[in-house]
Amino acid sequence: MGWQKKVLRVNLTAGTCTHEPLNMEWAQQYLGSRGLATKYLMAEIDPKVDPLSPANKLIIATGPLTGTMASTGGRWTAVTKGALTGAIASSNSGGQFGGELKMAGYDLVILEGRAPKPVYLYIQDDKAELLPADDLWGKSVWEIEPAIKHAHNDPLIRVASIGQAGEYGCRYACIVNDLHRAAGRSGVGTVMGSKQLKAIAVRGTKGVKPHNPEKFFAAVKIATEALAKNKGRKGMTSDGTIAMMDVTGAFGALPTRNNQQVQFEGSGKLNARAMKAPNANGHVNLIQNGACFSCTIGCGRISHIDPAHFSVKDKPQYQKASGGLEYETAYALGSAVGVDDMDAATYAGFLCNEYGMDPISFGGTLAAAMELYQVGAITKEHTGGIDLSFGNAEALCQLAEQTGKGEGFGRDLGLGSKLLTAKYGRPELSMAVKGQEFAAYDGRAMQGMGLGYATSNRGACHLRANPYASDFTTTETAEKPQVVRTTQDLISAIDATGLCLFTAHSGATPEHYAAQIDGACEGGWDVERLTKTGERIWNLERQFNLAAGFTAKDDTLPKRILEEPAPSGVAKGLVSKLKEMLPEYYKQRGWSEDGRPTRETLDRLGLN
Amino acid sequence: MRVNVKLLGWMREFLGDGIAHFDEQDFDLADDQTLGQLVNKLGFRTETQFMAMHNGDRVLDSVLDTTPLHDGDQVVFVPPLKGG
Repeated sequence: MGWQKKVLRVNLTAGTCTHEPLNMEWAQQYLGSRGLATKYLMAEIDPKVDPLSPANKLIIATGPLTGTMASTGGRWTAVTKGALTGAIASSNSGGQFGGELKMAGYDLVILEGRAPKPVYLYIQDDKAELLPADDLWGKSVWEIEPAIKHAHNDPLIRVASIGQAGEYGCRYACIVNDLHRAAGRSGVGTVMGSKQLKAIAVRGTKGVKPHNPEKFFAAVKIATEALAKNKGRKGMTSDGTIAMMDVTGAFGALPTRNNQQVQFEGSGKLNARAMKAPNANGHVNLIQNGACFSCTIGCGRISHIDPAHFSVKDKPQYQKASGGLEYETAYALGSAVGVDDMDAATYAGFLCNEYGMDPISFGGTLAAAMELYQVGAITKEHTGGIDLSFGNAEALCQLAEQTGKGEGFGRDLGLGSKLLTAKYGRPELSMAVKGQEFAAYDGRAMQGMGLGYATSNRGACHLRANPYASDFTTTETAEKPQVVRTTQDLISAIDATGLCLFTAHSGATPEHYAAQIDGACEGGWDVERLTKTGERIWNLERQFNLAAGFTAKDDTLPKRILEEPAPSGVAKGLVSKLKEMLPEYYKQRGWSEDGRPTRETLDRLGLN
Repeated sequence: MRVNVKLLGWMREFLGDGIAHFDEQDFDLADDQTLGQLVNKLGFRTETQFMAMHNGDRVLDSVLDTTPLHDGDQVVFVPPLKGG
C-alpha cells in the first residue's frame, strides 16, 4: 500500500473534520507529498487567489515512504500558495511529526477556510477535532508544544505549530514541528496563521503497511547499506551541513554581506571545527548530532549557547540544548549579515524556531536592510536607534526577536527583502527570485545554481536542483541546462516519496528510490516512471505559477548577479550567464520561448 | 621540504585506507615531489572529485602532475559541493 488511501478534510470556517478516500488515480500519477498535494491544490483553488484569504488552502502531506522504516522516511510537506511569493509553495520538513501523521492513517490533511476564533487540530488516529486555542494564541512554538502535550496528558503527541511570526503576518513565517524542525520556506506558516490555526497535534498508532513487504524490506536494506558505506554520508553525520562553510568559502560561492562579496573572512569562526572547539570560557557549542524519524544520516546539530554570552546572559531558557547551526543558518545569520559570532548566530536561529520564521529569509532580509543602511536609504530613525552595520551581532539578536514578535523595525523586516527594499526605494538590493531570498550559494561561481534559482517554481532555492558536482567542475554553461532540468525532475520525485533529499547527497541512487517505492506501492515503479513523475510534478507547479500570473520575466536573478562580476574566488570577474542558459533550458523542458509548456509536453505528461 | 596540508569540509573522509584523519598537518616530502604525488600519497586520486588549491590558487586536475611543490607551500583540498 504505502499510501493510507485516506484524506482528512478540515473546514475551518464550518469547524468540521471529515474523511474521504484518496484519489488513487492521482496518487499513481503524482505519488505523494509535494506532488500529490500540488495536484489537489491545483484542482481546488484558483491560483490567482490572495494567499492570505480563506479561499487559499493549506495541505499537509505525507509520502508513500513516510512513516516506514526506509531510511529518512519521516518527511512531510506543506503545500499552498505562498505568502512570501504568491507562487506555489511546498515546504518540506523532517522531525517526528510526519511519521506520526502517516501512522494516524492519513496521506493528506486539507485545511480550508478560516476559523472564526483561534483553534488547533487534534488528531488521534481516526478521530479528528478542532479545539479552542484562545489561550495558545500569542504564545511561541516552544510554549505551545508542551502545553498541548500537557493538556492531553500524552507526551508522545507530535505537534506542528506556528509562533507569533505566523500570527502577525510575517511573510516568511514557517510551520515548526518537534520544536526545531520546520517547513521553512515561502511563508507556509503565514498562511496557517491567516486561517487562525495555531497547531496540528497528532497521535498515530496504526502503522504503515508496504504493498509487498518482502520486496520492500529488501530494497530498504540495500539503500540503507549504501548510505552506511558512503563517505559523504559519514561527513554529514560527523560534521553536519555546516562543513560547507569552508567549501563554498574557499570556492568563492559563499554569499557575504548581501552578496557584495562571495568569501567571508569570518567563516573560520562559523564552521564545523569551530562548533566543536572550546571557546575562551571552555564552552563547546555542539553537544551532539541529531536525527529525524527513521534517519540513518543524522546531519542535525544539537547545540547550546555559552551562558556567559551576551545573547543569553540572565536568560536561562536559551541556555538549554536545541537545534544548532546548519549550513544555511550559518550563512543567513552569519556571512549574509557579516556576523562571525557563533553563539549570536545560534541564538538568532533559536529565536527563528521559537517564533516560527524562516532563518534564510530573515537573514536575507536583514542583509538587504543592512545594505540599505550602508547606502543611507535606512537610518537609525527607521531602526529605532539600532546600528544596522554589517557585522553587528547585537543587532542580529535584537532584530531576530523584534521580527519574531512583529515589533519595532522587525515589522519592516517581516515584509521580506522584496517589499522592504521597494519600500525604501532600492528594489535592486533584494537578493531574491520570485520574492524568495537566496540560499547559501552565489549564482556567479555556481552558474548551474543561478539557473536553478531563476527557474525554481517556489523562488530562489537550493533544494530544487542539484548542479553541485557540475558547478564544482566548471563555470562553463553548456551542460547546465541539462543538469538543472534532470535534477529538478529527480528531486521533485524524491520529495514526493516521503524521503529526505539528503539521501541523494549521501549515496542513494535513483534505483534505490524506485525500488523502495516499488516495494511500498502497487502499480509497478521503476526509475523511468519515477523521473517522469518528477517531470510531471515540475510542470504542474509551472502551470500553477503561470495561472497565478507569473511569466518568463520572473525567471531571472537580481541585477547584482547578472551585472556585477564576482569580486574573488574561482569565478572572479564572472557574472551569471543566465541569458545564455535560459533559452536552452526552456527548449530541453519542451517549453515555448516564453517559458510555457507546449501542448506536446503537456500531452506527453498527461497534464492536458 | 615541508608542506602544510589543509583539508576542508568533509575531505578527511576521503583519505586513503590507513591514513589517520586530520584537518591540518605538515608533511615532510622529498624535494622533487609534485602536487600529483601528494594527491596519490593521501589516497584522493581515485576516491572522489576534489579541488586542490596551491598557495591560494586553484590547480586544475590536468596539471596536478606537473605542479612542483616547494618548501613552505600550503595545499588545501576542497571536497565536492553539496546541498546544505
